[in-house]
Amino acid sequence: MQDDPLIIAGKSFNNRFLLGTGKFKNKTDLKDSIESSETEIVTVALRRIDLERHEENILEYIPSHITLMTNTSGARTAQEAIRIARIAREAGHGDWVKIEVINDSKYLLPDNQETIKATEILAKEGFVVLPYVSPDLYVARELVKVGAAAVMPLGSLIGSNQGLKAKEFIKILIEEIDVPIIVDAGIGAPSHAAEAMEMGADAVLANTAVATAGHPAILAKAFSLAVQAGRLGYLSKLPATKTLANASSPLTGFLYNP
Amino acid sequence: MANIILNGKHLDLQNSTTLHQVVDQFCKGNKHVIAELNGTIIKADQWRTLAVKEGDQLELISIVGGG
Repeated sequence: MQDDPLIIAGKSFNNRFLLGTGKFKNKTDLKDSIESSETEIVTVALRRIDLERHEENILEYIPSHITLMTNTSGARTAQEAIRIARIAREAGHGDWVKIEVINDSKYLLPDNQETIKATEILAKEGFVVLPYVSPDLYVARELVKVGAAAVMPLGSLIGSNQGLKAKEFIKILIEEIDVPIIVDAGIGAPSHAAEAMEMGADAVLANTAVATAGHPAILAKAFSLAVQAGRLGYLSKLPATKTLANASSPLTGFLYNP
Repeated sequence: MANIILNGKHLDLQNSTTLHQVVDQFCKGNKHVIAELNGTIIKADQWRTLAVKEGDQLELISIVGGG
């Protein structure tokens, strides 16, 4: 197997499965899922501390060699996303940021225009910016132009487990955009992840599916393996599909020919 | 007394209460608290010497699980 690292902003990763850390029932499931998947990048969020009750800090459960990427979830505008990214960096949590700007509470679709604005400003400030967007070629081109380190198109609605509903549009980004394409959101099963990788996505991020599975650590591992399998399938240069049958065995020398 | 706004809620504190004391009271055991005072991040090494004052807006923030 050839050396095939994922490279984002000059940093090299051996594992192309990214794990979101939200919604886990307990921190042990999260820790076990990080271990079983061997993920090297996880997303986290920032929230006000609940002053009424003691909460364990999630960072105690994330090994230090893992790249933390702060998600700007909760931001409704570019300015709010920028503030979250700056707080995370000031607090020493690094400069990797997933821009997520959402105004709509029903579909939780990302606001592409605000995301472009935030990406431009944060990239200029030296952040490694990975914007989460609806897959749109013009938006992706603009994001690259203003300094995005990767583009994260949604597979389907956040948390829906519907898989690659946006497949044909993501495929366009894979063909046309030069920075890594990381499929994010809606990935509900390992087969979805494999499908994304087979068509040439550079990486896949999942969260809800893993966190809410009966056995999160098992599914985390399955996702990681599916991402690897899909990647190998892509690298193998898959043969085209055909409408009609095509025999696998030789069509000459049959034993029962007259 | 000094009335401050802590995470969006009014709170009365003794005069000269330090940031360290506020964090210690409300976030005991959390080693990863981020303090933003009036829009500026205050590094932990300044918490013991910085007293909150009337009208301060203090946000105590933490990294949590997120997608």
